[in-house]
Amino acid sequence: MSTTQTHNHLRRTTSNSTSAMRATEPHIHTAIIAGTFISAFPSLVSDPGSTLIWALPGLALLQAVYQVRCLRMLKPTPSGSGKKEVIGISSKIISSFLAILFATTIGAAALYVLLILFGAPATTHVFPTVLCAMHTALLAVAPLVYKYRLEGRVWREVLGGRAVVEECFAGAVGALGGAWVGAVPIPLGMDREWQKWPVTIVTGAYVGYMVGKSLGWAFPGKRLPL
Amino acid sequence: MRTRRSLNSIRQAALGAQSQLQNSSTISTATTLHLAGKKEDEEPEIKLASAHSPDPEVRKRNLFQQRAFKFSHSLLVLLLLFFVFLHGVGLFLFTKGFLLTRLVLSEKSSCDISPLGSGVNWKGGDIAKGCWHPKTFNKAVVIVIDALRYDFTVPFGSEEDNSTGVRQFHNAFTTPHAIASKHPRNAILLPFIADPPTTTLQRLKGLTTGTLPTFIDAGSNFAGQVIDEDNLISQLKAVGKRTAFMGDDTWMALFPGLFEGDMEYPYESLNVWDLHTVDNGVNEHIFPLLHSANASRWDVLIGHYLGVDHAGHRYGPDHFAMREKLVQMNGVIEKLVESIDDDTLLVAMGDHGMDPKGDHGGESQGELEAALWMYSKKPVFGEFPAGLDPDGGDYSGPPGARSVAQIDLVPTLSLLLGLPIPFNNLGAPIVEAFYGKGGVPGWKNLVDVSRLTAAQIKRYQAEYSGKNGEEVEGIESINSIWDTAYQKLSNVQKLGRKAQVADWQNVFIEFSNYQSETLRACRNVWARFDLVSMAAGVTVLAGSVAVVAVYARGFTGDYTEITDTLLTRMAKGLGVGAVISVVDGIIARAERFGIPSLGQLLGLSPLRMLLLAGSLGTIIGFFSATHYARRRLASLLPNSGWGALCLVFTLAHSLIFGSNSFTIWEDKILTYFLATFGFVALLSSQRLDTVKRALGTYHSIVFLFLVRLSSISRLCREEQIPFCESTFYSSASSSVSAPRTLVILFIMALGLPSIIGSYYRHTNSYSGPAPVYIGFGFRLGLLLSALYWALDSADNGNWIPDLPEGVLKPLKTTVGQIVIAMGLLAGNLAYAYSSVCLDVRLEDPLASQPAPSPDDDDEDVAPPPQSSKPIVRLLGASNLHGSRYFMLLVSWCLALILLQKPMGGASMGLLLWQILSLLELLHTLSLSDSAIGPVILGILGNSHFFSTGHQATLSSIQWESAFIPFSTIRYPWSPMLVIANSIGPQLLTALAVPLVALWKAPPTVTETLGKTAKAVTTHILYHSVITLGAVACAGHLRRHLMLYRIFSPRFMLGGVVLLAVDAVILLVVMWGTRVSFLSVGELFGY
Repeated sequence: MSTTQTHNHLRRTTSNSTSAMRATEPHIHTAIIAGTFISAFPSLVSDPGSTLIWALPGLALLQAVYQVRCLRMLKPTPSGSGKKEVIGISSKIISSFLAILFATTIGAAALYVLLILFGAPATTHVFPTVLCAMHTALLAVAPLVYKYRLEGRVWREVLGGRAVVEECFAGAVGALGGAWVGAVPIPLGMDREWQKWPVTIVTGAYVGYMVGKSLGWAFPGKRLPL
Repeated sequence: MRTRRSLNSIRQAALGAQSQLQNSSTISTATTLHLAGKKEDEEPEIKLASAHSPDPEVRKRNLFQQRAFKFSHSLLVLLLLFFVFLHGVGLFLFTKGFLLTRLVLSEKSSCDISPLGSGVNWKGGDIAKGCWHPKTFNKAVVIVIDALRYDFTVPFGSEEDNSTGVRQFHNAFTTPHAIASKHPRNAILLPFIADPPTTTLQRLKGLTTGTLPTFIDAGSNFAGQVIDEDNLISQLKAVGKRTAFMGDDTWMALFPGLFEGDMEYPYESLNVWDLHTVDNGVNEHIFPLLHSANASRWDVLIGHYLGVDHAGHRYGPDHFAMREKLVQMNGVIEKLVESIDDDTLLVAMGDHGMDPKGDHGGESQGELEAALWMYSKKPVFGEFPAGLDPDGGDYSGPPGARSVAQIDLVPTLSLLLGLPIPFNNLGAPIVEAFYGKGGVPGWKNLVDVSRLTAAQIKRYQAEYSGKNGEEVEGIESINSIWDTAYQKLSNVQKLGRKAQVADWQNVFIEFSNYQSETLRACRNVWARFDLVSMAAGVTVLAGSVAVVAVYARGFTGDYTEITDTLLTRMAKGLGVGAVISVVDGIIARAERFGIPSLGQLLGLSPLRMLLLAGSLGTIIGFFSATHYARRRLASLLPNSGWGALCLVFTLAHSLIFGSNSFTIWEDKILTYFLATFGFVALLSSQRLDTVKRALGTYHSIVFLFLVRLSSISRLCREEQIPFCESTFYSSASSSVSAPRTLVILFIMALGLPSIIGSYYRHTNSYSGPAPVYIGFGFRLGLLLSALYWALDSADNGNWIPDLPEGVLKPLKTTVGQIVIAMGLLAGNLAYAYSSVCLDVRLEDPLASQPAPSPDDDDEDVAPPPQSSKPIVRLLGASNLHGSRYFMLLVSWCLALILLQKPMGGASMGLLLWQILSLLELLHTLSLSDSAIGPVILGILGNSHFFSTGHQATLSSIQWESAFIPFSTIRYPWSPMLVIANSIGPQLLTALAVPLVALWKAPPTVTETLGKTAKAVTTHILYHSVITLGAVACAGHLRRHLMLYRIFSPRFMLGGVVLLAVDAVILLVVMWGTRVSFLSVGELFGY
């Protein structure tokens, strides 16, 4: 009992002392993504496949750290005694890892199917499409899975667009919306190198994610006007 | 009769049950029928009504209501008629100003037949000397330097002041001007004025046929690019001259088989970024052929350089790349001058110029002014005679230089090389090429050539008027010029040797007048955009979009109430507009007032003025009625996410026509829209309660899957290659369907009726006529249609070699006729006299209450009975309207599937499934009132247009579909068959639109009619916005390089789709809903 109290006490003090730093952490995360993306963009254009592969572990690690550091997990359904449960750092790391795993497998598979359904080439360019789906899943799906676990009710709200706006949800909406908009310049007959598959989609997803995440941070607690 | 009886039997059974209940002395007079429907549906409680009710009061009321329904239905039809009128007028006015048609005559000039007629003393007919006129040259080298603008060829500024205004393109291409000014008897350099559009394809047509370009050359070979008309190249072939060719591959498409097989070297022309491949290729082949060892292999050598044009497109004229290119071309000319012999004519010319940015296609002066340079080692050319007006004619070029028209090259080259003048030629011989040393011999020669040219033009004009059935305007005065010319000629000939230069000159002027006047008359008929008419058309179309938008989305409440006010005012507006235009015309006709009519001021003919005034009046009338009913008006802006999605889809779709690359990829874009809708529906389903969520998720996944599946079938247009792979035909280079697609057709014949049946079954609607109609009739029809295509493939591929000729063709035509008759004749008749898909079951409540049997799964369990009254169950009542109307769709779909190629038929089958899945989705998400249903149906139709193997190009029209039920062309059926093949998907989705309101609608009539009207007009709104977008963009981009390849065909497609959808809605949909409503109303009241 007392250990828990001390623990809580300790937590509170540490969080107080580092709260200013903590508040900037989501922005550091955004800045790292932005910086990496901008610096990697030329090589993304010249060789999308290998650039996306090369960036994938980095992005996974970044998202995992971001989840552990910045996101608060949804408390399991309040069926227990009402006792405040403290989630230890190790369990956070494991959850974060599982969320990344879930996103890069099932989430990426779902997004891959979605990309195909939206008209992506089904027989050619399989590898870039899969990588595009994995990147989008790491951006959009992983934080949501970490935060909301696999709670059916919450996920229905998220999918239905009715969830409360916060970083993860807004980031996911932004990433998917950005990827949607990213398809617009593909048919333009400019013969530019950057028009090749799936550069615009990935770019749209990244830009959308960062914009959505920042907006979600700026306007938390609102709901989408749908 | 059978169906009639079944309807009566239902009613009898139901009424019998009613009276039975009454007899059993229960309290209620009107019996409540428990409707068996789906579990999640709210259970409507409907009272059974009948026109044959025993109660006279009830009977009277029903009759009255039936009349009221018929009345408001007729009003709706009238209103739609007004919308169609507006669309028709808008498209008519725009088309009249935009698309000018010219008849292509297939007659050829012949070496042996004089154009002067038989009575004239004529010494021609000998190829060796020259057919119609003694020839000057045996051979010719014709060099086309694409986009060689005239000012590239003239020196600019003097040596001293090279500081001001000298551009990169100046003083680089200098040899022609230097030679022409130093040796005027050996070379001439002239501005060479093009007829717009200044695209290479149209220019090459002009340069070889001598006629004016129009978008539609309505001739025998409507589909391809091949020139059917008489032209220089085919004349060369006809007299046995050998033509070698190298350069732009457009020539190969225009003149297949006319060049010598071992001396043709075409190069890819569309890659604007590549400045050198074509030019280097031409150089590689042209100079060896010019070598004396090879000089006997050819008579005419054509080389087409593209570098200058590509440099213009890529960099613009004021760029050092252009300078390099021009310097290179200058070197080519110098080398050519050295290489030719005395008996060869060298022609170097541009096919068009370029605008300041280096692009072309339009009609600005820079684009029209190309250069023509003719050179010969013999001194054959003359100076322009002093007695003629150098600025005469319609072709005005740069100041200070005499200009010639590009079509003038055709008679000039023909006569110089001793060929007959191509039949369609309207150009004049270039004076300098025939005047020679001048004096009487020079003038006499000029009279000879101009007389031959004029005579040929007269032959052409007589033939054209005969074919066209109407004379070219002002032809009488032109014919009088001919008579004067002949009069003068015979006078001069009487004078004999005493004739002076001035006499001959007079005759020449008359003949060339005849030519230029005919040309002017023809140009007025064929080749001008009529901007006023186009603007009027766009205005009326935009007005119609506003009208339909307000009617479809602006009004709230019951639609049937406002229709009559709208109609009255629109009719009044139409009348007032028409009267104003007529009065205006009469006042102007009465010349003493001296007031020109509005139509004259605008340059519109009386008919167009009448139509314009009438439709503007109609639009104003509509808005005055809207103002009158303003309290019923709601905002047009979307008030939900779905409405916003509609707006995004519709606007984005209509805006893509402003860009050639988006227009090219329209098929992919539409798939994208549909997938977006399916995905949003999938997400949106997550908001619903458990049962509906499962249904919504299921149907949206099915929808998404079907969208992607049908998008696999496609036929790429030329511009999509290499990023696209055609799957519609068995290979990219054939137009034959792969045998495996036949298997799909047979599978579809077995599977599709069952799929439709399953959608019927879960509302218990698979009863009454439905099993016979869908399970038997539709399936049989689909099997026959698959059989037709199997026979067709067997015929094409000669699968049964032992079969005697002429067995398969009549057999398959008969099968085709049977399927068409099944779909359109039997199907529609059966639909008209069919009953509703309803089954009546009498149940003992006590027996039915416990343990529902497995096949009872979908049925509603009646509320627990209080007494032991028997319960009448109506099976299928929850989708009474929908299941009834859908049968119309099934029968039309059958005919439309037959008319598609096998792959297209499969796509239509998928479309029918998609429609059903969409309807379920709309019902689950409660969107029957939203605009999204009709809009998605429109997008579905347009999307399947592409997956049925079509593109918005003339060459993708499947003409052979006219021969499915007939062996010969029959009017008016053949064009209708081709249209039904081309836009079958759009027609089917238009037919399906009422289902948005009808599917699973409660069996009431009046209110549902209002909803149907709303859905139908929303669909019309979607199509009219798309068409307006295509029309406005085509009009706006009329100077665009790709106008004739991309924008014009898309505009034509839009126009045809809009009018055909209007017609189908007005005739079939309105009739179908009337029949369906009446049969529902007869049973359930209105």
